[in-house]
Amino acid sequence: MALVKNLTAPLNKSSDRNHVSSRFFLFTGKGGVGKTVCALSFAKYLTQQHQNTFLITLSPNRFKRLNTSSSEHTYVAKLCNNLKIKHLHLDLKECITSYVAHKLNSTILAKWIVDTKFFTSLIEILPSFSDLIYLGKILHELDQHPDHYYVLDAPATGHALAFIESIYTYHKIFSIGPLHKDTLHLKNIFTTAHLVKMCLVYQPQDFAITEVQELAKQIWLIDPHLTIQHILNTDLSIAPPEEEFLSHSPYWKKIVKEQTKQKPIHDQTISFPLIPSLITEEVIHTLSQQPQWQKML
Amino acid sequence: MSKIQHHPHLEFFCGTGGVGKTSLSLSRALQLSASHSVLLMTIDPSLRLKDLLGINADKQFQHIQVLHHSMDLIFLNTEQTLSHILGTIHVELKNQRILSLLAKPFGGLSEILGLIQLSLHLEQKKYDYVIIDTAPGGHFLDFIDGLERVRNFFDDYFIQIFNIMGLKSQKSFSFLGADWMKKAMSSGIEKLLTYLNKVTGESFVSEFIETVGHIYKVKDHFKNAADLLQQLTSQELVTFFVVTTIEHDKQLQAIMLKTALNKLNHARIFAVINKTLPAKFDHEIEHMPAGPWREYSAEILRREQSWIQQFAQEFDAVFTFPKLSSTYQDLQTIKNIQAHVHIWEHIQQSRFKHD
Repeated sequence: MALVKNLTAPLNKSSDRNHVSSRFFLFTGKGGVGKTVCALSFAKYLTQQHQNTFLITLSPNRFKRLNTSSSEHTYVAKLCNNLKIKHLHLDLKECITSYVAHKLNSTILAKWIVDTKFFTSLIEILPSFSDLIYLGKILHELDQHPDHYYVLDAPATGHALAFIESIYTYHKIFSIGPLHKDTLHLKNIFTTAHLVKMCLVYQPQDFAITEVQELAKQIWLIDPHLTIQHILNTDLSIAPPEEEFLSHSPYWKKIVKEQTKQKPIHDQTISFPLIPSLITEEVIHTLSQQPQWQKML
Repeated sequence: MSKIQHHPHLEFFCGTGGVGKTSLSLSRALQLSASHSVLLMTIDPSLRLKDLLGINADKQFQHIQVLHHSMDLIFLNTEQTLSHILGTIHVELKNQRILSLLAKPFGGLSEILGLIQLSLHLEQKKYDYVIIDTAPGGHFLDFIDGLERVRNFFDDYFIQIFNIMGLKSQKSFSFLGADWMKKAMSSGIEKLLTYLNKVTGESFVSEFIETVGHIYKVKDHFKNAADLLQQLTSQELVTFFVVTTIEHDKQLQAIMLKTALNKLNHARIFAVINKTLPAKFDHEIEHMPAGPWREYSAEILRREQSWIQQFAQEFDAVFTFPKLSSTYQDLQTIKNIQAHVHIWEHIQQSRFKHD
């Protein structure tokens, strides 16, 4: 079975699955490990090879979430702008409205429905439904544009799992009725071998490691064929401060010693160094030049 | 009405991911348990607390002993809680699919179920303090919002749905009483449902509504939990520790959490900067060879000092906890926890003397 990595060829739906290149990368992991930084760094790296690379952010999956998250996506939008990365922000209301409009053949009707209290409550009570809408939108774009690459700065572990699961859950729930065809189609795209890659980010810290190990297991339980890539961020065993420096700094010496004791989870893990800078843009810029990213493709 | 007579002090540890909420909530609980009865609950679905303590989370309620202190522990278990409250009514299998979706972590009812789990427990046992380790960032706010969500959930528009369903199959919703059946259909709900049925198919919508009907049958539990939260947060017994670290670019999030919490008038809101640099780090910097690592170290120190100043103005007070080793899998953990407990004891002495 030849694995031809033809990155610029359009997706040939009828061809052998092994020729499919990964075009949708979902970055998740424990909160604080650097999902956003890694997603942005990879998106920047990928942009150098493929013009149509998009960094995707999602608005909260509930209509009434307080404003803590709206500033987050503005922050990411600014980073994308400065780093010349194409940014695609998905708004829940817009995605749902356009989907409902498509089913009912009327935008006006769709807008009315989405604005009703009942519908708002439905979304509030079933946030996984919103997750499905988002995923559906992305997979639809993936299918429609065979030359597009999407990098999703996904929610943290627990929520990411619910996010992924929504495809399978609703496929079962809508096993009869008008949504059956749609959910089946989504599931087929999502499970196309290697098309979607789950990028599990962690740091050399026990909680982060445990969380990724548990997540990998849970993803396997949902579907053993989903592709997973482990990513280790801030690995001080790569490019640590020099010995000369460490001999003058007990603080850093201790940290480096601790971290080099940790073994990576997986031999296929892609590791990235700790970039000594508090300026996020600088960190992303440096990380985006790391050649290890090529292993993702 | 809530059956809880005695109201404990409530302390929440909130903040973005990876800042140390779990470790700090544990050390605080331990410090308090030396002289008070303490319940530590984690409502973070990842249940990292189990790893810190090296225990299994299968039993949602446990009594533990750490460092000669003992306390009670609750692990969030929304599925068990939902089963428990539905135990009294018969639920058809087809409705269980949507119900289990609702009960899952990050499902629509998980925060409310967490509240119910806590309130059921507080009906059974009395505590001086309840310490809560929360889920990262925005998800915690969903917990606080749970109150409003419960109210909305059982409000007008759902009753209207029942009316329609009631008209179609009287027996399912007869528990609502004849009055409800008489309510007008002119609100457009029926029209909405017709269109919705076209999008999702009739079975999903009716399944969803029936599921909601089941929850409505046990609504007292939800209302009690909402009452509990209302009572606990409206008295001067609630404290929020908004935790953050310099390592992450998350200062803004800490401030936004504070802003969101401000609406709780009687709460004390403290900032906790965790994983701070060691004392006399500025001297250490002076001895470092020039280069990017030295500059980085200086930047971290500068940021730390600036945040402490800024937070002192925004919050009721700022507390700092030093960076400890990042592994919990050996004896180092006990030392780490002990170090934190000592800091809490100091804070208790200087700050919370009159609690």
